Amino acid sequence: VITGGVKFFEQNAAGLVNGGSVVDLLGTGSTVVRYLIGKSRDAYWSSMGSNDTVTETLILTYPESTRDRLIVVGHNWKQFTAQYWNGAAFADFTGVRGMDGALPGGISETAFADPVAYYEVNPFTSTQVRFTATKTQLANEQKRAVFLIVTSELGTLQGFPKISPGLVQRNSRQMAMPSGKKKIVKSGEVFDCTLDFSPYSSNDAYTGDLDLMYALHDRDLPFLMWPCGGKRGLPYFKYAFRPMRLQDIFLAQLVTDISALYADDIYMGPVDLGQLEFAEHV
Amino acid sequence: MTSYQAFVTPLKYPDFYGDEIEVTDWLLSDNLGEVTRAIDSTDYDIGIYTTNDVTLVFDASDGYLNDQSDYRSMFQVSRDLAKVRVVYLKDGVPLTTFEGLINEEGTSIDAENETVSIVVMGYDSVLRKAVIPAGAVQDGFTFQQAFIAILNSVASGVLGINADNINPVYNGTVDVGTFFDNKTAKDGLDALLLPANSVLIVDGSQNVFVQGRSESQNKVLFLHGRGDLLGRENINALSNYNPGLQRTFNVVRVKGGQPPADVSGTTVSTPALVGFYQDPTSVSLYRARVKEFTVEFVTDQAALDAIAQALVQEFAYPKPECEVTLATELIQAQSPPTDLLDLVSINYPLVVRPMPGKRIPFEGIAIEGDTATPFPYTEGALVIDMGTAWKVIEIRENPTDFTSVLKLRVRGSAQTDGTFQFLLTEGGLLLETETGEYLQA
Repeated sequence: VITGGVKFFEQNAAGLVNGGSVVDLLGTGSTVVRYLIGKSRDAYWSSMGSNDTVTETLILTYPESTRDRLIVVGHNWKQFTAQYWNGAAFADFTGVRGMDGALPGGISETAFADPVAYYEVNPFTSTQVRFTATKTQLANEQKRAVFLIVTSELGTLQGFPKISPGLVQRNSRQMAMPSGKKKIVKSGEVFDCTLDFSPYSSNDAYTGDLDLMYALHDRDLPFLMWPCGGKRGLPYFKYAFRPMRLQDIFLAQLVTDISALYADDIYMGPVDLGQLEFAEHV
Repeated sequence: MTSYQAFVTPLKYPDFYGDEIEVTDWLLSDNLGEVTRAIDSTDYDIGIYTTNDVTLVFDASDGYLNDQSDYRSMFQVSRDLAKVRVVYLKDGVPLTTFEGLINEEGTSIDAENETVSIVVMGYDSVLRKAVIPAGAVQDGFTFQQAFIAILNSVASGVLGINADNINPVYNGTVDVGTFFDNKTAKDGLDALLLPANSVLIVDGSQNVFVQGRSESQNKVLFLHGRGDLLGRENINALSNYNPGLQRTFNVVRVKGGQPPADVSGTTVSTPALVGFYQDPTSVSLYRARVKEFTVEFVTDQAALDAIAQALVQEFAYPKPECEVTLATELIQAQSPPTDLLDLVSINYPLVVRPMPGKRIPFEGIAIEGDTATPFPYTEGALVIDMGTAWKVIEIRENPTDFTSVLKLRVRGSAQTDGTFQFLLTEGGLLLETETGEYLQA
């Protein structure tokens, strides 16, 4: 299985705002196919008139770059493949590791059962990634997916800072009415996640986590945050609250400043970075 | 990280500038406020180009920025009219630049705190402080010739004036050139701009343009509201949306000058002629919305009628207006950066959310009666279609938080000319510009 805790990634290289595009080869869901590379969790791509005998093909095209992670979010695919364009043909990824372990033959799933597919692969330089989906987890449904993400990992926390808290906001607005009641209007769901690093071990195994926090603090560009880090169900969670569910991967930015000190003034002891808030970015 | 740089270009000789000198280390406080440039942005009227003034506070302990009477001063000739440039940088990248001229009238020294406050006026301020020499505008000059004569007589050393850039929409004839004698350049230009149905713009390179209110072509700033289903939200706030009736005029009366006439050997003033034009369709739709003004330097009936007609045709139909707040870097990301009269597309749909546990029924994939995709929640006070073509009539940059407010007005002058041409493709929406180029929305 994949290791570590909270994961951080670059933005989707194939994202619409990053110059990416996507084609639905059969064209059955072509009017909504761009949602796969947008940013809305409520919008999605769906096939039309498909069943488990029809293979849908989606091709992402993006400015050439070298990446090492693939994520399919909010899908219902059971049997599917993914390959990248090597300049001459679509080729299998190498060094593939999914959420449940190594996949020696590349990304070719036949009995997938999760709403999110995540793959660590050897770095590949390309301009296109192709997904094919044939069967759905509930037989003969329309194939659906919310995001197709091609990215690189910025880092994974090896330790487990306290989630303090995992916030789900609806931007509720209250309007006082003449009757004394209130009219309440809510907007869409927005995540906010605070990681508490006070204190945090300074053992060699965890100093990389501290370096990662400084690296994220230095970044001007937003990044993808995956609080559950690919962990789901037992033995990891009895209950995964939001945003600790598998599908809760969101564009974020570190908004708090880092105010560091040595716990109890012992320089050789744990380090206190305080509470670091990660807010959802547009 | 926010930082700023300030530069001063002092006069070396009268009307001749020396080299630019950085004075960032003397700039103590940046009371820059908003950097504003605008045309026609005042509600309820037809306006002209304006910029704002700013006050900068400098360290005066060494007298370097004191006026020329202080031997330590950098100003050898005069502090008045020295050029000032303030650049605001975000992470080292210039985002907002204010350029102007020192107005000596507004400067003051605080001896106790050893500071000097210097008022810097926009470059167009040179027009406010100069007087048009008598005889600069002759009888029989076209409006274009009059613009050039006025600008050349007062601003040739500071502003770039090129006859090719002076293109009044209505290029009438000045019948009474003495009208302009000894007026400030701004008053003279204002008097010309309204009957010329034109606006005056000073661009980032200090070049003066006199042109119509038509939008510039082939560049569109695409803005998206919070309801964009592709999540491209880049509008921080949208406010002051109105249907544009406050700037609708469908009846215009233009009173002309009163030229002297010789009657039986006595010079008398003749009654002023009045030009008139109305748009009956607009009047029936929106009732009479009257604008009256005087153009003393025109005495020809046909010309006065033509002036009235040009303005009615420009303003007879309401064009919605609104203000959007956005990150200044979006404006700067355009090439060249978004400026006055540039086109903007606003995609501001309703916020659509699925019912809990359900999915949104999108057109093209929705199946009637599918219980998994019931009609979704929708929310929002305002819907703006991205096909509506807006043009920028005011830009207010806030250099301290790097946001800008664009005041926008729907382009065009007729009832149906305020939209882009569309082309819907699999890759999304394309907008067609007037020259046939397609831009990805």
